[in-house]
Amino acid sequence: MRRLVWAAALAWGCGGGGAVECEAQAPGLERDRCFAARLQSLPVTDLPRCVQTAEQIADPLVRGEAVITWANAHNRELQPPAGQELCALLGQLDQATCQRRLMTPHLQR
Amino acid sequence: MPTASHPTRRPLPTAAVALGLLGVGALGAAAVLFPPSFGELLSAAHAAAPEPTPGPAACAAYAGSTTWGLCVRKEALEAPSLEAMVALCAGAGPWEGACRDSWVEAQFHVPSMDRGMLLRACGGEPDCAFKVLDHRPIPELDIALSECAQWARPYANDCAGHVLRRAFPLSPEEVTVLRRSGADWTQPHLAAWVGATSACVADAQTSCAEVPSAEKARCEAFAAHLRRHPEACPVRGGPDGAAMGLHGQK
Repeated sequence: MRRLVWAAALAWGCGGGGAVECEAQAPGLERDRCFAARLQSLPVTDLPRCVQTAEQIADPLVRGEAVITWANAHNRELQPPAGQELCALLGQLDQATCQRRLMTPHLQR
Repeated sequence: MPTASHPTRRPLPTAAVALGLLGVGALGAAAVLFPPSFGELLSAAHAAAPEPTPGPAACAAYAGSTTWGLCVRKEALEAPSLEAMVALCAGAGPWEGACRDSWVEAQFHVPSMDRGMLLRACGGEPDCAFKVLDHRPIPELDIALSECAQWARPYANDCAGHVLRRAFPLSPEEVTVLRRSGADWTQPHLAAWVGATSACVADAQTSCAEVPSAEKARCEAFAAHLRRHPEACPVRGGPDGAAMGLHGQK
């Protein structure tokens, strides 16, 4: 039993902790901000996880901010139409901003 | 050693400490003996509370966070005038540019909003201005190109590409106007679109001979390339030169 507790603690301390932290929070803006912060730490090479993380942000504005900020940071690394599935998670206004960031050549230079 | 940021702390005089403690004690006793009414507490709380963040009430939940600006942007879409939008967007923090941009975009199809007003409404955001120049084009090529340089920097070249694509094929009269107006022929799109006109349009009256000598070679190189690859020729209203390999040119 003691070994199990230690193994769990080790796994948490070695990077699993961040993953548990957001899910463990009560629904609300703080939880959404936790997922938003997690999204910023994800690389373009892990788009499925980016989409999964963005989907967990319930508040539409927090989600919009998180996805647009991520798109701004990575638009030079993505080749269109990559990232479209992320933009598709947003409302009309934020989706247009997200798509322009990802798809417009002059903003990708 | 004392420094400006860490001055030496001097000990408080004993009498001052004693007086302070007495004062606190007296206030505490008064509070117990004469408790304030709920109304007094409420007015005290109002007096002590910081100024509420100015802005849309709908955004109150996001006050103090960067999401506030995105919420303001959404609310500003309904702003009834340029002045109201500017006042609202000024409170959007890092999202002010996006706030102005969204409002401007929502006005594209409002005839009473002239393009000059829309360009000013962009507040110096070059991508916003680029969108205005694209959605409200003017027929005067020389003015359109100088507007690209003035408003859409650092996207002036891309903007010029859009202007020339809309004008394609260029007539000899248009090329003459561009020459006389002092247009910047080092702008790579200009010589390229003249070359495209001469190579891709049957019976074209426009040729690279009309291009200033310094840029003639560029024009002829494009024309030669397109004669070898006619499938890359632009079509009116088509892509803005991507097929011709013009994207990303500085």
